[in-house]
Amino acid sequence: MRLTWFNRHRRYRDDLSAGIDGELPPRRAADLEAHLSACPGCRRELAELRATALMLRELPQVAPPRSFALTPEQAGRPAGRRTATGLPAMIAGLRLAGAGLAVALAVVLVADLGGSADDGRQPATVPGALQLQTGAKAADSFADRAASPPEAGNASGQESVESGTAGGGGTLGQGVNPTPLPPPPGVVGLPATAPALPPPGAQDVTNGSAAETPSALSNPPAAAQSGGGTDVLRVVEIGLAVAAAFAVAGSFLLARARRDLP
Amino acid sequence: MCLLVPTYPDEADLIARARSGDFAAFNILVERYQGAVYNLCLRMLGSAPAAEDVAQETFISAYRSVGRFRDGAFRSWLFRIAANACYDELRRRRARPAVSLERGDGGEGDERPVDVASPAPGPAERLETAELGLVLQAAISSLPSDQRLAVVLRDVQGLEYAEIAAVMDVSLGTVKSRINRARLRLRTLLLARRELLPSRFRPSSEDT
Repeated sequence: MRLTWFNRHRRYRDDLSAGIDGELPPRRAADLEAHLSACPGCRRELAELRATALMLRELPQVAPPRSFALTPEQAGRPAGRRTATGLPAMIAGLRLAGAGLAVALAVVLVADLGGSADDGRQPATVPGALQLQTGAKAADSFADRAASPPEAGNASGQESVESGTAGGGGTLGQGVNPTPLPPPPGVVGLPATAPALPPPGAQDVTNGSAAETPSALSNPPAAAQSGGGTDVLRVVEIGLAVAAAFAVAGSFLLARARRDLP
Repeated sequence: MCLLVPTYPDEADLIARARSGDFAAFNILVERYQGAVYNLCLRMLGSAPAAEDVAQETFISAYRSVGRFRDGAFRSWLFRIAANACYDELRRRRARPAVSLERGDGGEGDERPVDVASPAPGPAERLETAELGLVLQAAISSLPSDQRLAVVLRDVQGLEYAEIAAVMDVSLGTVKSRINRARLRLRTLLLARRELLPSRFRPSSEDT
């Protein structure tokens, strides 16, 4: 008997709180109402539950003892998945800088090493005639670059050379120009195995071919101070390499730090 | 989810700004919800100092994860973070059982009883109310944590069942059942101290 009663009422008992809170679907609410009107036991329980809920609701809302607004330290890292735009941009920027530096380094190295190979070759072949030929060609190239930057010394040398080789190609110009030509300034300081050379402008002067194109890269004033030029180039190459390495390393460190952010 | 939760019109904008690192914007949200979060923690933990710590943790944690907030009710999301922080604190207490066993739950020895002051005309009534408040809080603290959360969200915070289901990530049926069981248990505990209950709350044998 008790068990049956309990079972029969259990369904309604379970609905009592939802009934108080108005959270029963209409059909079930109606069923509960109907039951309650006929069942004092359930009515009493309903009253007790309602009183309990009302007491809880009358608990005062306590004002927070202080503000919980975040300080900058508590805010700390950027919010959520999307970090402030700074970090990814920095990583990308560093990578780009590293790539740019590496390209610059490659260019300098190519010019550097290319120049040194040619220079090494030249003196090995026919010295005498070649020298004269070179001298003649040098005159030509100097003439071509008559308008090029501040080589007052070159200009005067060029004129004297020109007068000396009026006869043409000047391949066997021994007779034409008895005195050795003053070597073009760019050639003077070149060691035979020079790994670090003044820009290809000097290369022009020694083999006389490809007169025009590398001249864009050349820097006659730099060629003039060839001894100092080598060191400067060395420093530039090392500096580029170090800077590129730092940029790339820095970008990886930042990327890892970013991954570790919450 | 079609949830009717009261919300402020500028909330979406503040949240977007908070996501991009504007923590001053987030702090406006903090000011709005800190009362509710604090009181939730207070009733869950039964201790003002603990509630203060956990409420602060809640807001820091919410800021750090605001990027993961999708649309929906911000309040529900915030309450969920607070509830989980309260659960964690309760678990920590259970791992270090405290001296006092008079309050249920076994792990609340370091709590100071919640000082519940409500306006009452006379000293006798004030005492009664204060004591009633203590008894009520003790009763709440004796509930299992999921029943506790459900009944606090319902009767202290006034949330509807659908929002409680969202906060607790359970079905409506589960919410209904937890609230019902919580109230039944509280009712039994309070009846044991019926002399404290104001007459209007004293259930009589006849129906009202």
